Amino acid sequence: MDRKEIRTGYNEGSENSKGHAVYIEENGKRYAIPYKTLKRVEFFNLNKTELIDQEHSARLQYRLLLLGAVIKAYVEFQNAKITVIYNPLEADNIKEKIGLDELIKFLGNEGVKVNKEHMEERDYDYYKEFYLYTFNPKTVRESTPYGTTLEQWRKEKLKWEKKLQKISEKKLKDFYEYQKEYERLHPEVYKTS
Amino acid sequence: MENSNNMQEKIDKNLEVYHRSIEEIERMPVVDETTTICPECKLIIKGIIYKDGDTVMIRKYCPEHKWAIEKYWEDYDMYIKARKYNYSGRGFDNPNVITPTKGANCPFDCAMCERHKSHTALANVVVTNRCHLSCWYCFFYAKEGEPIYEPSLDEIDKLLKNLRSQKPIPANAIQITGGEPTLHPNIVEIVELAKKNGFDQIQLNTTGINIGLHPELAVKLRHAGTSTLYMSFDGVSERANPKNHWEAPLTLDACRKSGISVVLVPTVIRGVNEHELGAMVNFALNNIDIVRSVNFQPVSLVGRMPTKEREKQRITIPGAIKLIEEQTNGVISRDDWESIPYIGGISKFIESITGEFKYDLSNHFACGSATYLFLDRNNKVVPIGRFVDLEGLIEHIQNAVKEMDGKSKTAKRIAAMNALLGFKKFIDKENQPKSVDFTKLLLSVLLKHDFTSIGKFQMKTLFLGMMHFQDEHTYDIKRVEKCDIHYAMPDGEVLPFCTFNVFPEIYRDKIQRQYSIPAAEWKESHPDWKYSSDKYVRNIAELKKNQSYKRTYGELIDFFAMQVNGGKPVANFVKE
Repeated sequence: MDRKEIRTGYNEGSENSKGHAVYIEENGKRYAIPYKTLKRVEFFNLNKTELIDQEHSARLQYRLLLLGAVIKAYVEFQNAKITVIYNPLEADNIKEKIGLDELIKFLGNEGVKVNKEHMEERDYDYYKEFYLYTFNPKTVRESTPYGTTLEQWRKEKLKWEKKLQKISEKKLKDFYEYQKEYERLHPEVYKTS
Repeated sequence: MENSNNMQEKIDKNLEVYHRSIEEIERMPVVDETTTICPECKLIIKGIIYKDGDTVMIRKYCPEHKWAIEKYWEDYDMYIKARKYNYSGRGFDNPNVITPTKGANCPFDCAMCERHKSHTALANVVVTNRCHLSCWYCFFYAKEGEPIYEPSLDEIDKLLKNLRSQKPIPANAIQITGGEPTLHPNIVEIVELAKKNGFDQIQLNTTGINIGLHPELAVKLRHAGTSTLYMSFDGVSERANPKNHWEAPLTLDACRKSGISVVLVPTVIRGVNEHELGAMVNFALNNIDIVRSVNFQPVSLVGRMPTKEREKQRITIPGAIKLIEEQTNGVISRDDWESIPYIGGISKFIESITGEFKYDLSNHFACGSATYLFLDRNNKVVPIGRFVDLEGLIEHIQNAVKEMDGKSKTAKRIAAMNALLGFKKFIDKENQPKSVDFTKLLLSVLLKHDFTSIGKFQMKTLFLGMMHFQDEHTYDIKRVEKCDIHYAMPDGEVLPFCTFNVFPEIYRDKIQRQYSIPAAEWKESHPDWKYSSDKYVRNIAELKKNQSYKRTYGELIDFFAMQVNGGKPVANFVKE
């Protein structure tokens, strides 16, 4: 497994946040994220004629993203599906919000009629389902250096990773030595006792 | 078509390409096809790249907004030459987002998806949207009352670690930017964080003003690990560079004392500063002890502006290169430039020999061009192409790469050795600058497997670069897919430059706003802060009295007027 384990916890209702951020803690460090619980809605079995084609679907995706309350939108022409992650009206934050009906109306104005029977909606945890992944993405394929086959690379990979680690440690050591020498050369800023 | 066919109007020769009928345009030779967007509604549409006389243009048809045309590259021969070096690099083995659309809605699926074709060659990290200037053309900085984006040290550290976790090639060069990054109260710590996270090359994208006025800051930044100041510099004269003309001499002196090298970055706009390109190269030569490069950026015309204004201001890479040729009287000619992916051929060679991943500049050929100038002992300015057969050399290297493909280590070493022995025939020793042994230099790079050995030669060199970022009118999705200048976003996504900046309404501004602090809350948590206190007010008269100013502008030498360089002055030579 190449993804790091992270200890997490929400620090909600911080007196400093006033609804503009939620604080999460990872390994003792604190980070502000804009949302906690969003909504994820999926409209499926859409009429492809209304989506028109791939290019118009891409533009519809762009138009959905123009809405401040829409965090992510995916218009899948081939699958006749639209997925929207949005900040709902009932969300406990001061960011722009939108209701499901308004979203459906927006799509209607764009020529796409959605049927509530072909719709699934659920809560969406911004941190666990989105943020955590972007900072810890999975490895989905394996590239090799030019001129090297996958077989050759797999034999050398561990050696290369160890070499990188050694280089990394040496770089840091050299950097600290450079800083000491630099301080010596610049007593006007770095006064030595 | 939006552009006028009004034959009563006298048409500037440079603007003739905009004043053709569509029937005429459709008869012109097609050079390539690509995918682009309608600049009005962002519909993904087909783009036809065609040849109009010497100019390469792009035309596109939107069913709703009809025809749009724009200059793509202002020289057909240079386009064909640059196009030779265009290959697919590697994207990310661990893309930050897996989209359900699998990138089919590119560029509206962006987050660095699995389809991207280049690794991060340069990572931009925005550390604040506060700025001490209010440049009329800039959309980056926070206006009064707008939310403030200024991540904490821990949050920035997280972004840096994310960049260094990229596979197969972690980002190794970072540009810390803003707003004005030196306004961040922890800017020195941020640089040190970047160094401790393993970035070798740390650039600060700045006006340079704070550094010039507070030279001890330059010392602290260098101590923390800053390699380079990436400094705006729109011209040599006051008129062409109202941004930092008066402070630039102080900044250069501060960099001299601290040891930070400088890259001058002019944004080139026709009708504004295009007449001083040669003069800027000359200025850089005058300060070659500290200026390593001039990186020209033909303007990217993002946002709404009247069509006629856009046509007049448009300049592309070949347009700027030809102006430099003209203004330097041919000392730096158009033939001296190569497109950026040229370097990729050398990276591939090094990778093939070592069997290890190396930095790979696989961006699209139309994104950037470059050349190297050597300043010889007798002040002769010698572009690299005058003594190195660049095309022959890279072809030789590429043949060696093909030969090494999939071979054993021993077979690779033999092929590499044969290639190295063959280098000499591409170097003209007679025209080589006396202060340079280029064969030794090249062998050092190839045998040490990196470019850092260049520094040991301590020659007087000046790198000239051209980077042309896109806008809605020139947009080419093939270019975006290969972009290698990326932004690290606070939500963990990584975005190519030309999606981040061309569609700020769904990327840059949207995401930064999500992570910003409302102005009222910022003021509460920073009770001593006032918006106006961020703004810089200069005293021009005082700055002009400064010795740095008088020396920098008053003692400028015109290198191009020297007999050894042809004896003709550089155009618009400015000596204040």
